Amino acid sequence: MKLKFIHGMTVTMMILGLAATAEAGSAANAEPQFNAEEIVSFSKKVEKTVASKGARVFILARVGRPANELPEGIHFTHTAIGVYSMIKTADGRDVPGYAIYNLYQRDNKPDMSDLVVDYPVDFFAGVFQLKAGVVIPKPEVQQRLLQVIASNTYKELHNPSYSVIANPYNSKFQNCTEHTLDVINAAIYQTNDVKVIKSNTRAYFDAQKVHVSPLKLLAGSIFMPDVKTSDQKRGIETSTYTTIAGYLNKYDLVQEQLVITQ
Amino acid sequence: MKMKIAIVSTMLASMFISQQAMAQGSAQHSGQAVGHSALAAGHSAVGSAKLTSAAVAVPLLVVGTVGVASAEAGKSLLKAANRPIGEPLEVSDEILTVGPSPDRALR
Repeated sequence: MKLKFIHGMTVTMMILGLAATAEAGSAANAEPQFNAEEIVSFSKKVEKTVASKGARVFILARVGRPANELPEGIHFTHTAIGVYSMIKTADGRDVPGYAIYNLYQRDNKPDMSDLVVDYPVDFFAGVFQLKAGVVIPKPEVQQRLLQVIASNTYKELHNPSYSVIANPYNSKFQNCTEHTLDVINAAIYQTNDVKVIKSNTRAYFDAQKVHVSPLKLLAGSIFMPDVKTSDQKRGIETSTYTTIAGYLNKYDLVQEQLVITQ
Repeated sequence: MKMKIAIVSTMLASMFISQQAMAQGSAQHSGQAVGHSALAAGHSAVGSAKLTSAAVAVPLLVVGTVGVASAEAGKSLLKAANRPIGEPLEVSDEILTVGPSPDRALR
């Protein structure tokens, strides 16, 4: 009886531990780490900084977990695309600002995702650090990105089957960074053909290798619906904000890259 | 046998809890937490900034690309659409936020 209880407890602890791990971008109901004024002030700072640089489109990343919990090579936990927009307010006015195009895990079904447009203050609510990664692509890339985002291709590139460690070299699963990368490559190659996008990703993009013990991975794939390994071939490889920035830099497609802090 | 299972699972549990390795998730941060605290703190205002609900955002395309900003967008926005990429852009001082998700709206 005692053993059964201990075993049951440890399995529960394992699930809880992995849940905390996998919800690294922070859960929807996470306790805010900063007060509302700090979040508002920081998100407006990010918005005004990119506006001062004339960015129509930029890649944006946030830190959704404590820095000491992030694996080697991963500095940000969620990546999205910021787009200079005409925003219609609920009271009918048009105001200029940035909308953020995200792929988010569903709250109640973490192995599935939705495309969600929100705003900087929503994006940064609940972060663990007031720190933003920003890549402003060169104007020609921005222009092509705008065309993709304004077209059906942006939605067509979404694969709702979510894995937190999705392999960017195939289309079996997708996470926020992989969708961002797919949109970037759709823009660069001016195509909506996923086969062309993935072929070029395999040829030119260097994914992040994630070092996770096989035991942990096995348990993760058993207990966590959003941890999937069936799309992986050579260890665990996934896309990150840092590898996307590295990819754009490698091919001279970056106008400016910056880290904005409080 | 049961003892072995318990020991192995205890070891695994401690590994999982001590290491947070798969840190790539993108669960949604709700804007509601900020919205609620802002409302509680200052009746729709945070400091001097106004919290505004956004209904819809339309990418402001650059002249020469498809679907350029329409005349309805207003003069300042049309002016922005005509600016070459890289020139400083105007952004509103209003703090725009999305509404709650449908399930939260019903709570």
